[in-house]
Amino acid sequence: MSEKKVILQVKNLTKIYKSGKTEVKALSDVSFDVCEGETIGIVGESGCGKTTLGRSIVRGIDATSGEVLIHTEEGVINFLQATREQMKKYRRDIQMIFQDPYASLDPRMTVFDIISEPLRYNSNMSKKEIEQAVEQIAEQVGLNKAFLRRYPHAFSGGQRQRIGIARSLILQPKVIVCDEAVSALDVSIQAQIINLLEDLQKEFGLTYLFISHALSVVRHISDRVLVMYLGRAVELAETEALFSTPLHPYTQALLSAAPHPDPDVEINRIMLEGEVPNPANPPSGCHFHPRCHYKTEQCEKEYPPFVEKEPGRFVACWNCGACKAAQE
Amino acid sequence: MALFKKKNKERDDSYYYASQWQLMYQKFRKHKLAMASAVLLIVFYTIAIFGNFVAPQGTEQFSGEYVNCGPTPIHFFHEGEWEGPFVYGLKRDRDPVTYMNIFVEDTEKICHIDFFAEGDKGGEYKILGLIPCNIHLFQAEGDGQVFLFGTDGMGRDLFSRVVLGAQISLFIPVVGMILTVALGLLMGSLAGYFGGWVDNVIQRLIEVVRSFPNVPLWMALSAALPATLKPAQVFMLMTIILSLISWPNLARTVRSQFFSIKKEDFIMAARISGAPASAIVLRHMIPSFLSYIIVNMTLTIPSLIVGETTLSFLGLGLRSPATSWGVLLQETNKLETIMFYGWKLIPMIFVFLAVLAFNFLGDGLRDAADPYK
Amino acid sequence: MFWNKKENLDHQVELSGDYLLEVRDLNVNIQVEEDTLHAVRGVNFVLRRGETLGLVGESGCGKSVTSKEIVGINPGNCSSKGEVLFRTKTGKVFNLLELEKDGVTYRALRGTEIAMIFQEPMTAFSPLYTVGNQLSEIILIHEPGTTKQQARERVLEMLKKVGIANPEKRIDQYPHEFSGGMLQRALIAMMLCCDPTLLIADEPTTALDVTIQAQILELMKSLQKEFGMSILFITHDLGTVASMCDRVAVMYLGQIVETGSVRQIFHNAQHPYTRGLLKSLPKMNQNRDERLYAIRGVVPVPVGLKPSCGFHERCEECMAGKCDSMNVEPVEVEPGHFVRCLLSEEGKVRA
Repeated sequence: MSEKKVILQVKNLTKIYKSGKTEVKALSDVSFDVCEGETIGIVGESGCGKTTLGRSIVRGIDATSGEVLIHTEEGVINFLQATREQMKKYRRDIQMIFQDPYASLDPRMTVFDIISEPLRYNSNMSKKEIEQAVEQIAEQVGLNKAFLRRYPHAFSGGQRQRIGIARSLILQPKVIVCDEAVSALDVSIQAQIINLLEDLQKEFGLTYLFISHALSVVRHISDRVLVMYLGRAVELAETEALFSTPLHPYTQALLSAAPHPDPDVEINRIMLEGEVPNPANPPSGCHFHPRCHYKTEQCEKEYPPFVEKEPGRFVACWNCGACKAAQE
Repeated sequence: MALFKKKNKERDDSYYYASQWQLMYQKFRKHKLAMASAVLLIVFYTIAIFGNFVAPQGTEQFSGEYVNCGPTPIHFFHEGEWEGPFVYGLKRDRDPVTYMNIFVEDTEKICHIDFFAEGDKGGEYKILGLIPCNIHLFQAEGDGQVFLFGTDGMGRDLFSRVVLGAQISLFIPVVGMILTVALGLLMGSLAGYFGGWVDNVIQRLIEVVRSFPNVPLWMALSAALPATLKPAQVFMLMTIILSLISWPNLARTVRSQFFSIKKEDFIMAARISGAPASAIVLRHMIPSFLSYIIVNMTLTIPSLIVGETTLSFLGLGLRSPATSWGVLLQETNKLETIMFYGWKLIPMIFVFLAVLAFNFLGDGLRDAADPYK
Repeated sequence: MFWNKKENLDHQVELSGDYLLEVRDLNVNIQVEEDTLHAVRGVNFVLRRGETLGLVGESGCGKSVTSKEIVGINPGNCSSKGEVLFRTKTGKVFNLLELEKDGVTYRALRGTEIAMIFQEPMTAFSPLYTVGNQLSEIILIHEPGTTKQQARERVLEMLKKVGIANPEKRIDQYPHEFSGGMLQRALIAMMLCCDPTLLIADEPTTALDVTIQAQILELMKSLQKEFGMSILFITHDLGTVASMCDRVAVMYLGQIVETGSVRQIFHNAQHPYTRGLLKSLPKMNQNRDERLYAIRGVVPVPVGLKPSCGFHERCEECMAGKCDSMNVEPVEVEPGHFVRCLLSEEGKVRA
């Protein structure tokens, strides 16, 4: 990792939702670095905070505390506290692709207006230049130029997702947060969009934060993977390493539960007991301990720090040694 | 498949390029009852706008000798021969049983009906309040009288009064609706956009206004109006009173729309692309619930029509000689009217038709309002 | 006998061997404004006792419409043709399409013989009553003469059986107090209360997280072993099909394009669509640098289809003049393995 240039740093990002007297920590103390041109997969089950993480990074929602540092030519800037001037300049660097290709496009605007909208607020381009830019990007994501004056209801899910991708690319961002970008699509269309995302990454040197619950898709597209559980990062490692020898017991269970499209693959399923606890009232100590096979007394008392256990592998577990030994 | 595609091609393409309004219109057209209502309302409003031209009598005029005269039949044939539209002269008579004054046709006297007749019988007026004119749609020649709907207790032509009354009864609600919408939009947007304590204050205000009993409130407010006011001023004040009471419904709708649309992904997408708050509200939020507002506007009108009619009926609104449908119905609050002068209930039919038509129109618009669902 | 004598059920239909359900040439059209969607076009399949058949396909392929037609809950703008034969516990065979949708017979069948579980378990429960209440009500309806106490005990037993921890407490809770996975378990318990012979599961695990999904699938498998019911498993997820089903039917554009045992389908797929679908799925044991195979184009809208293979526009092996101009009938390439493709010949398996 060291030879690669860090482009984005997430530091102690926390988001607390308050409703009345109850506080829900949707995200607590998540930290990781992102290098230029890589894809970081972010996986976890519903309620683990992966969507909150993505939205906080792009400032779609306001994080409670923590920093998102972007490395620019002018030095390091905290994106979450950027001034109006800085925002104008760097807003374009981090964009997002949404899960639901139906809800994320304003049905009352033409495709052209949707794709060009970011340019209205972030550039001083002339009408002609905007038109050229939109046509160019449309071609790159595989949309027919002739259809730009149509409304979104004329398109299928896959095509709509292309529109969403075009919108996120038009500002030539450096980082794109893909929030379940292919989850709502059918298998045959999903492959088309994954390939498109990979092609665009090569062409523009994009960095992806790929949020998804589909493990096989994440494995396919990511260079590194961050596993989250109940608002916290529990493991971060290179994809191969993580999928072959997960160090966190939760990662291990999660991977073993993934379905294989092959009737003859024998999987040693690690069946987790119970369900994901209520985030408003998480268990003491390590949040995973009530369901963990390796728990010790320490797990019930203290939350394990998220530290580098092996080169490039960050784990938040007191007993990852035992977990690793069990797999060998 | 080729054949089918060809047949559907034109329709399909227009569908793809159709904006929200075009989609709404396509859907609305399928609602037959709403379409018919729209046509009826257009006819009503056109007649009201050119009321002085359509009505044979002006507001201030009356024919003292024809008090409580029933509708005059229009004839085309006299003793089996084509004469064109005409009326017979009217003779005063007495009912042999009740000894009440009645009018019978004098078949000796034929008065033809002239169309686009000029003359001072109907009085002078100004077209749209600008161009002086004294041409009327129809008039009986000589001293013949055409009372399509009969006359009232002062000998005023009821048809003319219905037409002229429509000017107030149909337009007060529109002005009131505009005021209502302005108030409702403002309050609803404030509550929806800012939330928090602003929302709380407005919500409580809405509850207070909604819990007022309408009729006593009207009575109190109207009693406060000095009797010396001109009809035009009464008109304005009534409108304001009505809309002060009816804005909360719309404000609630707007507020809840704001709340639900705020959570939509495309709003988040606009924020992430750097859209300022004003652009989000104007470009994304308001357009997405504009259709609901229009529906709400349409459905506000009937209640305002009924409101105006009620006020005037209770004698709290306009007073004669100014006229509205409510004023006309004032006369029907006596049993004898219903027994002997049934035609005086005709204005009620128009109130009924207008309210019904607006409700159907609103239904049709509501069905068409969200073409994406 | 619970069926209504008034309904004309006199003519006896044949259902051979150990079949529990046979769908013969089922066609369902959906009227959407001026257009007629041919949602299901001549679907044939059988379901044996104790077997799990996976009905797989992408959205709009007609898999859900087919399943809803069997249960008789398609909305009024759907019209159907064909036969759906079902054998009851007493051995009588019904053509379900001939039954009155809201008739006594159908309702009784739905209660005691055919059960259905859905993607969104929340919609199957009323938020106003406790879960226990709703479950025991079903027992009371289907087994008249049971006392309330007995019903409650049965419900407790069922909740335990579907792996709900602490059933004594759970039985008096309301549906919103259950998580998605718990509710799906409760729904399965509800369906067990009727002791069905046929279970139709429409995307039962799609809305659930992977770890919960694995739990529910395991539960369904073990319950099937215990109660011996047949399962019609409808899903778009090939991964769950592989671990769950005995046989698979792949649907595309309202037709079954390939049926076979789960091994035949996953190891020896013959239809270009099935092959494409399997190739386009990222696999856990695949080389990550490999580019995903993507089927080109999109699923056509099933309106005004002319005779052709439904897949020809997207197929890489499409033969001009043949695939795009004639209907394709299924052929048996190996025992029990049917393919609806002109490239496949009777008794020959392509590599």
